[in-house]
Amino acid sequence: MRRQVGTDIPKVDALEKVLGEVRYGADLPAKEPLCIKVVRSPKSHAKIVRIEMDEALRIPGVERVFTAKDIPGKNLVGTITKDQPILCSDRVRYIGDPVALVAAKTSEAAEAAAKKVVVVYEDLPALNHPEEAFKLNGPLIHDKGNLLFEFHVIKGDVQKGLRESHLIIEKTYQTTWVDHAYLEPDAGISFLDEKGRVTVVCPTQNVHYDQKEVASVLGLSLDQVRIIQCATGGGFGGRLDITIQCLLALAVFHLKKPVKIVYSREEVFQVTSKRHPLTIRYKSGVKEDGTLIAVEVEILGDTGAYASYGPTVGIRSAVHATGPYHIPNVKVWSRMAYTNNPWSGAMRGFGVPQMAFAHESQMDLLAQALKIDPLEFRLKNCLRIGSETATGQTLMASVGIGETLRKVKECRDKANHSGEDPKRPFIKRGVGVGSMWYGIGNTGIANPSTAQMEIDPNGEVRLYIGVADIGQGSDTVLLQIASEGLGIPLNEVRLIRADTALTTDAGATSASRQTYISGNAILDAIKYLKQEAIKEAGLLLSMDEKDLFYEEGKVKARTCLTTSLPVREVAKRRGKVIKGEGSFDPETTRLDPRTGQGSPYATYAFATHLAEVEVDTETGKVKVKRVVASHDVGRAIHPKNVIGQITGGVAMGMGFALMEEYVPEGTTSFVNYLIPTSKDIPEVIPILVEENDPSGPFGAKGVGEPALIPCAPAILNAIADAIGERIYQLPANLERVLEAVQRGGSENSKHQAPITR
Amino acid sequence: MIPPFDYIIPETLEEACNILWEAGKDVGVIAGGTDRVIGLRNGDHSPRLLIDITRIPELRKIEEQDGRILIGAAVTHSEIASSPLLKKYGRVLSDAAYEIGSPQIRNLGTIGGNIVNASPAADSLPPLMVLNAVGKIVSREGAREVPLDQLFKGPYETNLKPHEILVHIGFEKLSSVMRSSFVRLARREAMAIARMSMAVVLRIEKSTNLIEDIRISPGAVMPRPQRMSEVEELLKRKSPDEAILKTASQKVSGVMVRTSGVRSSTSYKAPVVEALFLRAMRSCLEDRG
Amino acid sequence: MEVTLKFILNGKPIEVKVPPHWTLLRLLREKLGLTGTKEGCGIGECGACTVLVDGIPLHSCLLLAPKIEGKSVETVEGLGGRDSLHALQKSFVDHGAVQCGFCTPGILMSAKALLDGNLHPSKEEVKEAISGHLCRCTGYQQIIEAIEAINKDVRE
Repeated sequence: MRRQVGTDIPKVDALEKVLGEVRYGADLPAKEPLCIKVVRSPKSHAKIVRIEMDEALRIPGVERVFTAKDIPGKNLVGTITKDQPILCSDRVRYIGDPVALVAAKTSEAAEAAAKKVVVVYEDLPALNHPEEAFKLNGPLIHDKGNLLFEFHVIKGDVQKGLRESHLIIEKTYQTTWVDHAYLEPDAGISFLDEKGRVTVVCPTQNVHYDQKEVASVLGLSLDQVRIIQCATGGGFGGRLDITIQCLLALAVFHLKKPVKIVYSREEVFQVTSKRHPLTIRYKSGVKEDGTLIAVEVEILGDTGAYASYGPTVGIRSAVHATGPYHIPNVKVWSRMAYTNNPWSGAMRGFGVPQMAFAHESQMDLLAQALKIDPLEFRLKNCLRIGSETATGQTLMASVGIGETLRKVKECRDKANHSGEDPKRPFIKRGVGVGSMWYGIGNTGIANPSTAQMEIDPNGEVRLYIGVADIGQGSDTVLLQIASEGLGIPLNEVRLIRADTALTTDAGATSASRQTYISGNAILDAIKYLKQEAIKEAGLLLSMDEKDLFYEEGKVKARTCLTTSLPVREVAKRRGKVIKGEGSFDPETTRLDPRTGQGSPYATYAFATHLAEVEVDTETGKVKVKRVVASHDVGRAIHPKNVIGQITGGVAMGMGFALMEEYVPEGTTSFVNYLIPTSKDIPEVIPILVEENDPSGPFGAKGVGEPALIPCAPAILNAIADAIGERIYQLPANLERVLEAVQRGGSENSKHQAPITR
Repeated sequence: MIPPFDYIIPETLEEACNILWEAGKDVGVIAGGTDRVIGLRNGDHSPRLLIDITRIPELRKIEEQDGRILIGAAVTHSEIASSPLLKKYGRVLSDAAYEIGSPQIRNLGTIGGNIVNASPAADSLPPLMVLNAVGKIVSREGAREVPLDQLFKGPYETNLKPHEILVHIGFEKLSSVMRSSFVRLARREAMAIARMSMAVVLRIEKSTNLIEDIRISPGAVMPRPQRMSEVEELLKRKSPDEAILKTASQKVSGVMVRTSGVRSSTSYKAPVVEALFLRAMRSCLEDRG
Repeated sequence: MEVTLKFILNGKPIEVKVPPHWTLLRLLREKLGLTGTKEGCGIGECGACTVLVDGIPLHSCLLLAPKIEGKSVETVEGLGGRDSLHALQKSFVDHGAVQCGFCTPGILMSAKALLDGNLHPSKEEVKEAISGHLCRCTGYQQIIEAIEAINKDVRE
């Protein structure tokens, strides 16, 4: 059989996508579905005094208007902290909070009726700045207080480390809200299936989570709810939370008729989660020879109206605060504050992209002050096998950060891109690097995946897996792993996936975890399938199991080379399904709640990007010319897919660096939320560093989020290289870049000098 | 969601004028629809009837007539960008048209729509201002010619009456001794509204090296498209050296601030509008060879 | 009130009744069952709804249906079938140009218009031709490569 792993086969879902046949949420067929439309709060913080719906109900075609009173179960959802209502009952906490739900025969009627639902509010003082969240007698967003979460990572003695430092640099970094801007607006259908189950078909990153929430909201048992993922037009973390699932299910529960919802782009911008704005105060201490010895970091995040993934961002940003460097003395304090701003949640990297902006800016500032080459400085301090991380975890294998740096250095040394462009004196050119590390999977908690593989007597081979492919290609990669593990051609393996009625929990498509964790679960299933195949073959061949082994889809005898039974033949002749059930949960330990010490991840991905930019010093416009993206992915199961993740990550990272900024009450659509176009993107040169991880499937780790993380820091460092001034706030838009250029030209320009002892 | 309306596609200008005259209130004219349809979707306006003028032959041509170029109001940005006639006699406009939005927007959006929508950031307006463009407007009452700078009242506001139709825009051909330039700055390379733009037309008398004709119109910095006559006066009959250009550029930002007031964006816009002006001027001067 | 439209859809003449305030996008998706053309923003800022009208790429979300009277409309469904893939469709599959796929139908149509008028586009021309499309997954590089590969095939 042709090898699967490491091969660029056509993605299994590509054909139906280029034909326009694949159905996303809005394309799903339903029999005369009712259309539903949400009535949303125009207030950022207010009491709901009363809701009047008589006029709305009089509109022809309107079937019903639902409010919180119609929710039979628990009216609160959330992945970690359940604090977000499906329909607000007494209070709204941000502009866009759902208050009522209209169901009507046509979308026109639903929309018209939604406008006629009168909600009487009583304004409450709003809290819009996280730094004001902990003031006495300020507005309280949730009864338990405005501190959602805090976390510490404490290692060594940071004060001692700082005292012993030759040089200390302290800066504050600020990032803002970013939207996922997945191209498919949320849309889906719901109906009662043939077994009477409330069935929701929609784009999502985790069907089994959705199932739990829908069941809880409706007061049903899990087996009365079925979630099926349809083709999903991107996610990037934005579809980890509940979006439309419970709204659809609530209407079907009461009306017993098929319903459909299609969000407008404006609605998607207004009501889905955002990347957390973080304020990062970062202090680094280094010895005269360039050895990092202390890092003290304070992080304050704006989690907005609801918890969502705030705790995850809080813990991940703290754990990753040092960057991929060995630092003996660390103190990190991370807090997430509730406000009346849009709710922040999961977005590609969970806080690590923001942290990388800070730690990589610090690395360049330190290197500059020490007059060391920034790449050499990183190489000197980077993690290697045997290094201990800030949480006290000793890295035993697959630590490719050094190799990503060396690969990038070769490219940089060849290209001389700094200095001026003689033809355009207003253009300044610069080169910058950014590095990152990223723990694969959830942080210090169990996050198992499960899978089943079976071969039936008709010879059909099936992989059952709950993983949601959101476009990144997990269907293809997981089939490659299954095919390779089983020794059966990929096109002969049928994939059944992301349907709670047919598959078991694989956890979320997030944290760059599916290749590593679900890939391993599949291999585990295959291990058991092989055992069963050998047992059954033993019965057919009247041989002892010990004398048989499995290879390339066949059960073979150790003693006799010609004795070999295809596994499908075994199933057929035994007249039974040969199956294996597998699971995998990465080996982690819970982090100490006081010190943050422990082993939060079983493996880490590493990466370094090199960015070449041109800065127009008269307008502040930055053009990113080239990005060399060097990634330690363990093993690339599908190299072209990995490269696709990298080029996509670079574009998103470039948007994060230069143009993306969600402004509450300002951003409404793609007119005022700009993401890069084909004319903005740089040439991307991907470099795959394959430091196989012995715990990964065929050595693989993950790449989804790492692709994005080092890009913005590399660009920001390149801008600083070009203009000699640094920008501490993202995005580095026209105004901020020009302001930095002007700062550089002024008399009292030179940025605050580091403290030198 | 777009509310219901009736839709008529007249084949002649006369028919269109008659329908518009008789229909009375709540009637709208639609050309490409790139602005109009968004307005309908957002509920900014809800006409009872829309009159589509894109199949009226007079509105669909670019032609040369008595030393003038006439561009039908329903000519698309793509057609303007690729017109050999405009490349030759009105390059400042065809260059600007090429930078509008995206290929799809340029294929649908029209110059007439760009004018009557009167967005302060519209890309074709500064070039039209420096071309001294005149609009021909007709209604059942008759026809009138209006210099473009008299058409705009304010942001998204023109003097066009509800029953009037913009038929074409005309301007005197730029002779081969005229130089022009359009420079544009946006936050992204495609599908982005201009942050600022600058259109310039320049003629220098070869024998004296003095500026004989200078026309300056910035985009997205003032409430309505207009010329910077004060700066033009300053430059006329002057030799275009660096010192006078620098003085003129400061006057450009001065006029901008005086017209638009000091805003939070002024600290950014003032130096950048100066830079764009200088780039446009230098491009004209280099072009001179 | 509905109007009767006659136009060519993917090469076949059709006649259909439609309310005049419907966009071409809505007509295609809700009345003609062609859901391959997507709505990503509804205001001409993402390109997902791009179709060809008389060979020219346009946003079907901004195009009121009456405007297509007498014209020829091509959508992704008319580009090729399972057994008769258009070269672009095959190239997109081969080059990994498809991730979530939501932008794909629209980009395919713009790419077709480009190649129909220009057999040997440069990289810059390819970037320009698809600059009216947002893609959040791929970063465009593999899409550009897929389109460029066609012109190479033709040349060779």
